[in-house]
Amino acid sequence: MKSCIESALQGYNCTIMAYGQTGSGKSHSMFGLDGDIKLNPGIIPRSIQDIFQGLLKTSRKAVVHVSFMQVYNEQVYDLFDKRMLPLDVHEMNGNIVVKKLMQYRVSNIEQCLALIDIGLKSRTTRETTMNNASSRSHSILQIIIEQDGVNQMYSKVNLVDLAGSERWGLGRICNEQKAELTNINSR
Amino acid sequence: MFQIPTIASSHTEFHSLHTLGRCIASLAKVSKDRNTDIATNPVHIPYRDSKLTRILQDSLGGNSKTCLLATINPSSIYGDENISTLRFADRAHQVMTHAKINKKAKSSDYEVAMLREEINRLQQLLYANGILDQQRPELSMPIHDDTKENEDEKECVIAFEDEQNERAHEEIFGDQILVNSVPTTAAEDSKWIIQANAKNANQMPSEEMNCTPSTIEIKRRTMNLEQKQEEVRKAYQSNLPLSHNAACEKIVGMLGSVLILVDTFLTSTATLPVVVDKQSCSRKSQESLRTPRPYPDWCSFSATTPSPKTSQQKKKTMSNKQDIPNRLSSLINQRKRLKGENFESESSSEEKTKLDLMTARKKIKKKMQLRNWVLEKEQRAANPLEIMQ
Repeated sequence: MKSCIESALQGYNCTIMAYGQTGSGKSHSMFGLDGDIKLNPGIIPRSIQDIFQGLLKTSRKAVVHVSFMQVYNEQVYDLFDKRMLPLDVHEMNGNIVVKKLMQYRVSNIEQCLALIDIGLKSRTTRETTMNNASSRSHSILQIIIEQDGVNQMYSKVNLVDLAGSERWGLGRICNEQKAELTNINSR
Repeated sequence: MFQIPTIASSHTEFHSLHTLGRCIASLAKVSKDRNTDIATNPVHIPYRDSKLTRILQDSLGGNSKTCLLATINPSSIYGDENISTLRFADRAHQVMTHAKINKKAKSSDYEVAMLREEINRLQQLLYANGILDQQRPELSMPIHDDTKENEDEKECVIAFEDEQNERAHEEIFGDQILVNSVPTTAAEDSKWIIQANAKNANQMPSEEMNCTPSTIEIKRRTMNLEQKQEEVRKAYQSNLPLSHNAACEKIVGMLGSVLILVDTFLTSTATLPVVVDKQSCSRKSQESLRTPRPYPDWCSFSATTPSPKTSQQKKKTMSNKQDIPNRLSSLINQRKRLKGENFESESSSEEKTKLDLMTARKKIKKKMQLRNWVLEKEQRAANPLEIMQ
């Protein structure tokens, strides 16, 4: 995964996805313990750290943008936007673009982590209002790195925390297990 | 706190994950039998079925390096789920993505670089054929050098009382060089053209003596460049499909046709009793070629274009066709005085030669216009900002 982030600095797009059933530790490994990205950093804070340290090493000018979205029930929401409006997905010049998605320009690690913290908080508030939706929603953190130089480089880092993969509706798991699973996650 | 999701709602909620699974499965299939012809039987990958897969379209099977972190629960009751997770991971492992570095070339700079390369190639071809001078200075030139040249020209101009006289002299003189010298090679021919055009260029500021020469120069240049920009673009676009060799051949052919024109011109004028000191003329021209000027003639030439002024001059000279023999003699005398050389003048040149001169000059101008855009193209590539402004 470190090599993945390094290649992102060289101009490749890269994606890290976490897949698994609810309670198996996707969010834990992506964000950190209990969503605390500072004390027990997960993959996302570490990769952000790697990105900024890597950018400091190079002499190139770079601009980093961060956007954080959630896909729930076939709707895309911006986690930085408190209004929680569903957004449209469009295709422009072969690229998939989410309309009106906020992209924040960040200049250091602290800013970036603070933004992600805000996003996570809004996600947890959604969790309560939308009946524990986090286990059934996918959150996608996009980091867009633009590097100046002889050739401009443009790389997109997708850090995806997918929804729980277990098959709820298909009757594979009985109600007790469900309760157990949700308890694990909500504790 | 907890609600049991109904089958209907779970369908929509897990639709995206389901689609992700299908996408991964079909991508794995594609990657597996990659060697078989996919182009003929393209496999449909259902990216569009859900928002998640649409957003992650590039990450899954496109231009991306993708890591999949599969998490499992160690408890025995999740055995089924763990197996399905691992199956998914196994399928995802087979997917091949085609990552590439996203280099965004700076569009205008890139184009300029390409054009410069092309020009260099063309120039080298021209050098190889001996059409252009070997010592060629930079295309980009400061403005003040041009103005210096113009100041020199001004000093000459002061000697002439009548502005019109001076113009007529210049034109006729320019043609006399063409008449009296026999261009032997194509290279020499091009030099003549350049020189003649440079003379036309130098005539310009004499009219606007009141303004400072630098401002005139700037104005003139901007005007010309604006005019030229569109023309050059069109010409270049039309020329684009040509290969370098073809373009070179075109230029050579152009020069060849000019050579033929001059030859016919010479044969027509050879019989006429125009006695002008050939040596002085040729010497002067040679001097102008040899003397280390700040910038050679073609530099000033490249900045100039066939402006409406030249056509105006032509009209004026056409109207004064009647007293051209007299004027010619007077001008040649004046030139003699300026040069301080013995100069045998002859005023018995005929009307017919004048007409020939006019027609030939027109043709030459056409040729020069053609040559103009070639040089303009070069200049545009060398300093595009100047034109843009």
